[in-house]
Amino acid sequence: MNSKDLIVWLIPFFPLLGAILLGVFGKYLKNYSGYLGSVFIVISFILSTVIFFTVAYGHSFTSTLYSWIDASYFKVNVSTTVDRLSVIMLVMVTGISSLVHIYSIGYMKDDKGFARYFSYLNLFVFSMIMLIMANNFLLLYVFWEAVGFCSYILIGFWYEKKSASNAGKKAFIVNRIGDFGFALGVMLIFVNMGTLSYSSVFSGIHLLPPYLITTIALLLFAGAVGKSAQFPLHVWLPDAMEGPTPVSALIHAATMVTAGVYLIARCHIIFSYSPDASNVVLIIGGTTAFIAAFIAMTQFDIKRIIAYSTISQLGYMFMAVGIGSYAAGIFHLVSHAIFKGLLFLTAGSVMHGMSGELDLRKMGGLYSKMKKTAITFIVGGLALSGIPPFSGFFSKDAILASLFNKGDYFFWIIGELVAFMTAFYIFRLIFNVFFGESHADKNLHVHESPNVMTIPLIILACFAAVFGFIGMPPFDHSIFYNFINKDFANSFNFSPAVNNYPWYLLSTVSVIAGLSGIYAAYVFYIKKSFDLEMLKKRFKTVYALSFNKLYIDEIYDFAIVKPMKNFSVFLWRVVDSFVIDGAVNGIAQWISVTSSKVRKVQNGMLMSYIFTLSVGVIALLAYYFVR
Amino acid sequence: MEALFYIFSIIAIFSALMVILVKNPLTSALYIILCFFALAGFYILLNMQFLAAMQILVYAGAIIVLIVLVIMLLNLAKAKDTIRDFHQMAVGIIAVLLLFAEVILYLNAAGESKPTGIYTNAVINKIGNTQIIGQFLFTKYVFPFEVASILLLVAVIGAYIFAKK
Amino acid sequence: MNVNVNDYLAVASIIFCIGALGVLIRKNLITIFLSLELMFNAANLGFVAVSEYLNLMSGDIFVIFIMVVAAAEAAILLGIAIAFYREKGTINIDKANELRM
Repeated sequence: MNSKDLIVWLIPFFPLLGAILLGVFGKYLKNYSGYLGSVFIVISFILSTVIFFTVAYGHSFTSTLYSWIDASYFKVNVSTTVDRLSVIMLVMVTGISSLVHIYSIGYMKDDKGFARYFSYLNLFVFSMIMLIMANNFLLLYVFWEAVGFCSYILIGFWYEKKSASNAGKKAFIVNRIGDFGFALGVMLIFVNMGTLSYSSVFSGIHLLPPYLITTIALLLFAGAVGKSAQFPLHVWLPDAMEGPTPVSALIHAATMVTAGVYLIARCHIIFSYSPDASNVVLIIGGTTAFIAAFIAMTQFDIKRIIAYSTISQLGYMFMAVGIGSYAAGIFHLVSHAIFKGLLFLTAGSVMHGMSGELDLRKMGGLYSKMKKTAITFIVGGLALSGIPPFSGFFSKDAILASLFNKGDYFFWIIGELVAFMTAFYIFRLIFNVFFGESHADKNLHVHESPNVMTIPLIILACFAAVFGFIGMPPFDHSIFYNFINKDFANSFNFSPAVNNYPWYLLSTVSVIAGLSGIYAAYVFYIKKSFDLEMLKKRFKTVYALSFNKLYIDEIYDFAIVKPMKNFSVFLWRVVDSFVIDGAVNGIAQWISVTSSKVRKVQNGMLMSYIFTLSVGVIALLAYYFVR
Repeated sequence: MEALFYIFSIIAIFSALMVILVKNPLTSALYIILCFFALAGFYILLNMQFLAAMQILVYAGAIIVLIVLVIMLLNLAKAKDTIRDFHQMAVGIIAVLLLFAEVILYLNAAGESKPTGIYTNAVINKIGNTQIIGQFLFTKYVFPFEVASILLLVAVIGAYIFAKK
Repeated sequence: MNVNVNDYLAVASIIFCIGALGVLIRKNLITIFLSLELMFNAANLGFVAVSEYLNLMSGDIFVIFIMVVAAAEAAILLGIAIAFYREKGTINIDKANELRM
């Protein structure tokens, strides 16, 4: 094992070590567990940076830790292939994890599950790193499930709260639906190709018949839909906001939910051979982006607004990977991870200052009371709205430009529309929370968060402000594109995403969409030029649709949950208690009655046993004689 | 020779009957010794002097003496078997008659079989039956022989455990 | 009239059945044991007779092992008899009626 391999395997080792140490010795470490957990992640981040430069100035390489399964033709290694895609993800994941860990020291202070929280968080980071590093589908699947599990325990972290534990369950169960498809996809790959390692699967996938490639791609995409909260499996993500806010920032904005996008980028060769599957990805992405933005416009819970925003932005990424513009998708993934992590953390800071208040109707005028939080939040909001020079502008623009360039004008229009809605709902949030007069309880002492929380915010805000420049339009000449495209250039029907359009015109359109969204929010919520109540009445149906999240939860409840429940009750009442229990009890009763008769044979008298024995001997002799 | 066979047969059957018919277990034990002597006589007629000697030494000399010892130790000679259960006797006699009938049927049904081995009387007499048995025991049957010795050891320990309490 | 193997087997089966009868009708533990020994010896006689007839030695060897087993069994049975007597004050096996739950 040379030093490169050692460093690669130390990256997941430290979070795992942290998870075990904090899990076992957490209660002795008390408040030090936060520092310890953060230190492990920071070490991981530093090592990831080292690997990043190793790969950036060298080549991607494969490193095998050990042979996990070796059963004749079924071979699975615990091994990694570190290429440009995975190093970007590694640095992003460990970097944001480090900041979230440090932020959590302040946010989770005085929580009685302090050590447990950091143990779970470290475990999540470990699983996420392994998910990124895996170079075969089985390992990917294992850690795919592992991040799902970590997400479940972290959503339900305050398990005494009924809503929190229910949200955890909901996330887990909804994810199961997607993961089921994913598992089927992995099995289908194995059955047809006899191997699960990325390199052999990708080099041999074109030999399969097209319908099989499409099936595999769609099954893998089902997993991505579940994990990345795409329509129609997006319902778990808003509920997942019951977890601690840093968890939402880390898992439900920056890392785990982007695993679906990563999966498709990783399997881009499979998708490139199946235009149908890619189109499905594009359509699902577009639908999700629109629906989630539409719902976000009328919500009042600040975390839920940001959660719907996450779903919507993930929809953008799926649109990008759906048209084969993987580089743009990954670019938006990374920049979104930064500014959305920032938005969640600032929302957490607001919550912290407002003693856990989440309803934006009860806020207002916070700007003067918590300046650092407000400014960083606004930076995040500008980035999300796609206003230059913040990072969101560049990454969103790259996606929109690719859509336009590919000729998908319909989805380009949807994208621009969503950009407008995005700017509107995030500035509706900002204006309601930080400006205007205060609606907060007069007794509430609003205070700025401690430095341990604001410093990560400032760092993230700086990145959100400047990160985008590595993707300067035109995107296909940018640093980021040139860096990562070496990984995608070998894909089958690869064509450079953007080259022959007047990019400045498209960018202008996007900026106008964003600015008009902000202006609309300004008109509605600062100047109050319109009577909001009257508008609500005028557009009652639309408003109700948006406010009730398109009734999707209710539809699921009516179409799936209720019938399932009724069927289960039927199984319980009729099949289980009557048929099965009846059969079991009947047999038991019959045996009991019969044996109470037969037991008289067992009279305990030795003589009768001897007699029975001799009768048996005589009968056996007679049997053999006659035979 | 025939005369001897019939004499031994009469003694053996008579003493066997007496074993199960007399009331006093001590008398039974003495009758069974008589029966064993008759069986030893059969073994001599069958050219197996060693077995005859073992029959008398082991059975009559050791096992039955042990039983007599127990009878006397527990003072059972007086504990006569007075309870006669006629129901049990009737059932027992019927069962045994059936068994006997079946044994006779089997003997009748058995086909003629030619001698297959090499150990004719002449060979046995030439080598000596003790030596042949010894050779067999320590060569071909050495493993069962060792197992038998372990069985005896186990029996000794078991008897001790039972009787000790 | 020559004595052949059938005659020996006939005597052996008679003694065997007498032994079986003894086991079935007697109630005295010691007598039952003696009857069992009778059945053993009847089987022994059959082994030796057939072995002689077939010019084999295996029957004779078998008899030796049966003797070993009988000796072991005698030792155990006497142990049981003593324990039983100590428990019940008799060796009538009708008193051995605790073989049920």
